[in-house]
Amino acid sequence: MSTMKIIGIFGLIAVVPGLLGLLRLYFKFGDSAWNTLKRGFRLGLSFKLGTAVLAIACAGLFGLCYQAASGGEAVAIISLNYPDASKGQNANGTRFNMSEILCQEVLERAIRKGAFENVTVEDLSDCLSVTPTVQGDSTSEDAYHISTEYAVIYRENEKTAHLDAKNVVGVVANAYKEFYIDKYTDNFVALDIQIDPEADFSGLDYLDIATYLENQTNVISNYMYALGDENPGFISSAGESFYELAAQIRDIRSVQINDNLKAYLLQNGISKDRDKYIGRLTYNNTLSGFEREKDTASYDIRNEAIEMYSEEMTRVVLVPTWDEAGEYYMGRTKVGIDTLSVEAEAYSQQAAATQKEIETNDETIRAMEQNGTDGIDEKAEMMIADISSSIEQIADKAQKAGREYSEAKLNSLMSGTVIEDSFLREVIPVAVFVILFYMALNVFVGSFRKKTSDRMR
Amino acid sequence: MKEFQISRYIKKWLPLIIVACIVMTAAVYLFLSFSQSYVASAVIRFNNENAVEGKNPDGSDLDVNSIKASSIMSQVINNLELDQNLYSVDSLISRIQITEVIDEDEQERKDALLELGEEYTYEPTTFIVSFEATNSEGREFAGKVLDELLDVYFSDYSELYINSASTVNSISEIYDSNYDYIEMVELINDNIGDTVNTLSSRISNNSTFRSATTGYSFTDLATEFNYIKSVKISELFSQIFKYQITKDKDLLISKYNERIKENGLAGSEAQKKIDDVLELMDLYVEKMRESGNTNITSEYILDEVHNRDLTDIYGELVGNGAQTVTYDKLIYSWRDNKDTDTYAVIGSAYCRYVLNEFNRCTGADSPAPIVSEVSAASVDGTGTDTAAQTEADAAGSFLNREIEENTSPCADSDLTCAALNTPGYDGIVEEVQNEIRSLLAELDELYRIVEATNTEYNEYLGAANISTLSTSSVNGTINVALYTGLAAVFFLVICCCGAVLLGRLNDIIRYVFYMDHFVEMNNRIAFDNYIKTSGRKLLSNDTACIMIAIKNQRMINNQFGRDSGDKLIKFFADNIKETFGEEGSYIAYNGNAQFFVIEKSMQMPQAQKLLEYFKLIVDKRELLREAEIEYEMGLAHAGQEGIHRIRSLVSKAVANRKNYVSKPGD
Repeated sequence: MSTMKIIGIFGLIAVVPGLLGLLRLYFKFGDSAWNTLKRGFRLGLSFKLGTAVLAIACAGLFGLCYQAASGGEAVAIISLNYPDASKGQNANGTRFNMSEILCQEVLERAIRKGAFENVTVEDLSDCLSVTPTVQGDSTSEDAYHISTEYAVIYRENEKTAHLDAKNVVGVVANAYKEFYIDKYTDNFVALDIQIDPEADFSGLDYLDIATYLENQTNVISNYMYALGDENPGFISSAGESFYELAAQIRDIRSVQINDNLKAYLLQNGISKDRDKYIGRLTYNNTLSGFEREKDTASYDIRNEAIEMYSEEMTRVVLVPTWDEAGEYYMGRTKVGIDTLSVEAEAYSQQAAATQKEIETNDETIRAMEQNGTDGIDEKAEMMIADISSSIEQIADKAQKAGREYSEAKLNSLMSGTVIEDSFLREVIPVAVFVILFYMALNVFVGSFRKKTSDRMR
Repeated sequence: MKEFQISRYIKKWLPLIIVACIVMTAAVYLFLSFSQSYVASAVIRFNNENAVEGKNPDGSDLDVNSIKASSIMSQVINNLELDQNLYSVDSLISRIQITEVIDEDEQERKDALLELGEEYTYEPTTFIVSFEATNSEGREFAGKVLDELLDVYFSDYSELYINSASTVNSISEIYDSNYDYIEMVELINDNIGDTVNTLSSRISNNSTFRSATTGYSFTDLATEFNYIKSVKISELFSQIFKYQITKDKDLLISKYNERIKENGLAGSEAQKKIDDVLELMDLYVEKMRESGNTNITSEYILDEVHNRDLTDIYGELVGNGAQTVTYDKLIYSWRDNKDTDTYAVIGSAYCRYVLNEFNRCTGADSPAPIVSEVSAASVDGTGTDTAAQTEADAAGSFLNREIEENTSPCADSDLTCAALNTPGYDGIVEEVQNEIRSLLAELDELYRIVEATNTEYNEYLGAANISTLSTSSVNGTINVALYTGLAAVFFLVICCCGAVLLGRLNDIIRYVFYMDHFVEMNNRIAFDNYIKTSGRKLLSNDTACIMIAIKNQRMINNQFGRDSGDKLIKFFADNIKETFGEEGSYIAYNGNAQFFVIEKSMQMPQAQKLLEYFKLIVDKRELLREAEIEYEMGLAHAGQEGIHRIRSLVSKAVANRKNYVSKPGD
C-alpha cells in the first residue's frame, strides 16, 4: 500500500472522530459553527491522559504502517550532464527520448543486474514511472523548457513486494546509464581488430591480404583523426594523443604495407596461386574496361555537346545575386555548357581512375608473368604476421585511448541518484498524526460530557 | 414574523449544507477525474535554411502535417507494440494536433505590412506538436506516444528530404531465385556499386559521422564494400568465366542474345531522338537569331534580383528552383539520348563478350589461357602504352567485336566446353556456389550494419535539422483541483442561498399558518403538529412540560375591558417567552389563555425554580395591579414521572396543574 493511502486511511481515522465530536458539540449546545469550532479547539487542547496514551498508541501504529509503506516507494533522479542535453539531444546528436529510461531493454538489464527473482519486465514496468523534475509549458514561449533531469519513481505492487525499493530504482538508473552508454556514446567495435593470419588469410592471395591490412589501418587512422579533431589535447594514460596514434598507423600503412610488403610482392611477383591471380586481374581488367569505356564515352559526349553548343546561345548576362554568406555579387548567367563541363570533368576523372586501376593490374600481371613465384613465401608471411601484429597493437592502444577518453566524458555524462529519506520526512507525518489524533479524540470524548453549567444562569 | 437573519438560516441548515457540499464536490471531483484527459506537447523548430521559405532541405514544400502521416503512426504503433485492436492508426492520428507558433516580432511585422496595405507572407518554422491521451491511458502514455512520434518523424524527415539516397539490399534472396551464376555476380556487383555511390555521397556530406550503435563510419563501410568488390567479386567473375560455370548454357546464351537485341532497339530509339533533337536545336537557334534574342552583350545587367521561384502576375507559384532555358533542355536531351545510345553499344559489347566466353572452346584438357580484351587492346607487346589513337581504335574494335563462332565439337553440346573437359569441374562449381552463398551472407551482415548506421544517421540529421525548443510536457486538459475548488465554493454559495430561501419561506409559512400573531407564539395548530410529530419519539429524562393558563380571563375581560384582558394575555406570553424561551424549548399558545412550554433539557428542580420565578413575575406585575388574577400552572417531568411520550406528558402537566392567585396590589 502506498504512503498516500496510509496517510489517507489514518487521516480519516483521525479526522472522523474529530468531526463527529464537533457535530455533537454543535447539536448539543446549538452554538454557531464558529463557536463550536472554538469550543472544539479548546477541548482538543485540554490535557487528558487517556486520550494522550491512545493517540500515542495509534501514532505508533501509523508510524509502523507508514514506514512499511514508504519502504515500498523510492525515487531516483537521473541527470543528463553532457552539453547537447540542453538541446534535447543524446550524446550522439540524435533526439533524446524520455520514454527510453524505462524501455524494455533497460528493464531487462535491471532485472539481470539486480538479480530480481520472479519479476518480469511487465511487472517492473507496472511499478515504475518517469517524469521530468521540471516540466516546461508549450503554450508560452517564456515557459519553454528542455528537461535534463528526470525522476524515476518506483511504487511496489504485490508482484514486486519482495524487492527493496531503493535498490530497484538504483539498479534501474544504473541499467539506463549502461544502456545509454551502449547506444549513444562512442562505440569501439571498429577498433576491435583481431587478425589471425592463418585463419583469416587462408583464402586470400598476398596482394589481397595487403589490401585488407591497408583497409584496417584506414579504419584505425580515420577513427583516431576523428577523435583527435574532437579533442586534440587528450593524452591517454600511455602518454599518446590521438594524432600520435594516427601517425603510427599511417606509418605502418605507408612504410610497412606499401613500401615494404606491397613493393616486395610486386617486385618479385609473389602470389600463392599465380595463374589464378593473373586470371582474376585479367578478368577484372576486362570488366573494368567496359566501365572505362562508359566513362570515356560519357566524357566524349559532353565534350561534343559543348562543342556543338551554339555560340549564339552562350551569350551571358550579369545577375545580381547572393553567395552562401548572404553577400551580394554579380553572377554570370549559367548556361548548359557549365553543367556539361562539370560532368565531363567528373567522367574524365572516373575514366582516369579506372584506367589507372587497369594499368596497375597490368603491371602486376607482367610482374607475375616475368619473375613470379607460386606458393607460400616465407618472407611475405613473416612480413604479414609482423604487420598484423603491429596493427593489432595499435588498434588495442587506440581502443584503450578511445575508451579512456570516452570514460572521461561519460563520468560527467549522466548521474543517477537515489533520494534518501530524511529523518524529518519520517518523523513529521507521525508527529502531525499524534497531534491531530489527540485533539480529535479529545473533542470526541469531550462532546459526550455533560456541561450543565452552560444552562445555569 | 421572525427577523430576517441570514446566519440563522445558515446555522439551522449548516450540517446539511456541509454534507450536501461535500457530496456534490466529491461527485464533481469524480466526474472531472473520470473526464480528465492528458495532452503531451513539445515545441519543435525546423532549422534548415530553406525552412523560412516554407521548404524542406531538398526544395520541396515543407508540410508539417506529415507528422500525422499514417506511415509514421503505424511505425509508432509497431515501435511501442501497441495493441492494434485497441489503437488504430486513424484514431491515434486524430489525437495529434499541430499548432504553428508565430513570435511577437513576426506578428508586429505582419501587422505593420498589412497596415501599409502590403502583401504579407510568412512561413512558420516553429510548431507545437501535441498528442492527447484518455484518462484510462494515463499521462505516461501521452508522453510516450508523442516522444516516439517525434523520434520517428525526425528520422523520417531526414530520410525523405535530407538523406534520401537509399542503400537497398536487393540481393539477399538472389541465390534461391532463378538466376545463373554470372547474372548473380553481375547483380551483386551492381548492387555494391550503387551502395558505394550512396555511401560516398553520405561521406561527402558528413565525413565525421560514426554510428554509436554499430561503431562504423560510412567511410569504413565503403572501404569494406570496395574490398569485397575488388577481391571477392572479381574472384567470382574470374572463376565463372574461366570455367564457363552456368546452370544452363542454352538459356544463358539466349538471355544474352536477347539483351543484345534490346540494346540494339534502345540504341535505335535513342538515335532517332538524337536526330530529332538536333533538328529542333537548329530551328530553335535560327528562330532566336531571327528574333534578335541572341544579340545580348555582356554589359547587359539585370536591374533587380529575381526570385528563385517563378510566380505569375497574381503572385502564384508557377515554377520551383532553378529555371533552365529551353536550349539547355534540348542539349541535355541530346546528351541523355547519346548516353543511352552509347551505353547500349557498350552493353551489347559486354553481352557479346559473355557469349564468347561461354561459347569458346577451352581445349580438351584445360581451359584456354585468358586474354584481357581491353588491356590486350591497350597495351602493346613490349608492355608499354600505345598512342591514344591506337587505344581508341582498339577500344572501338573491342566494342564492335562480333560473336565468335565456335566450330569445335563442344559447340553443339548443352554443356560448356569447360564442363565437358575440365577434370574436377563439379568441385569447382560447388566451390563457386559456396563462395556466392558465403558472399551473400557476408553482404547481408554488412547491409544490416549499413542499415543500422543509416538509421542512426537519419535520427542524427533529423535532430540537427529539427530542434526541440521545449521537451515533452504532459498536462491534464482539466485542472481538477481548481475546478473542484470552484465547484465547492459554488455549491457552498448555492446551498447557503437555498438555506436562506427555504428558511425564509419556512418563516413566512410558519408566520401565516402556525403563529398566533397576537402573542407571537406557535398557535394551536402548530402545537398539535408538534405533539403529533414528537409523539413518535421517546422523550429524554430531562424533558419537562409546563402548562400555564389564566383562569379568570373572562371575568377580567368583563371587568376591565377586552383590551386589558388581551394585555394580560400578552403579558403572560411575553414573560413565558422571557422565562422559558431558551434555545431548544418549544412554547405554544393553545388559545383560551393557555400556554404550553416543552423543555427538552431541564431538571425538575430547575423547572420548579423557573415556575416560582414566573409566579414572582406575575405577582410583581405593573399591569392590572387592581385585578385579581387567577391562573394555574402544571409541571410534568419525564424523568420524575416516568413518562416518555409527549402526549402523556402534556396530559400529566395538565393533570398536575395547581391554582395560583395573584391578589391586587400584591
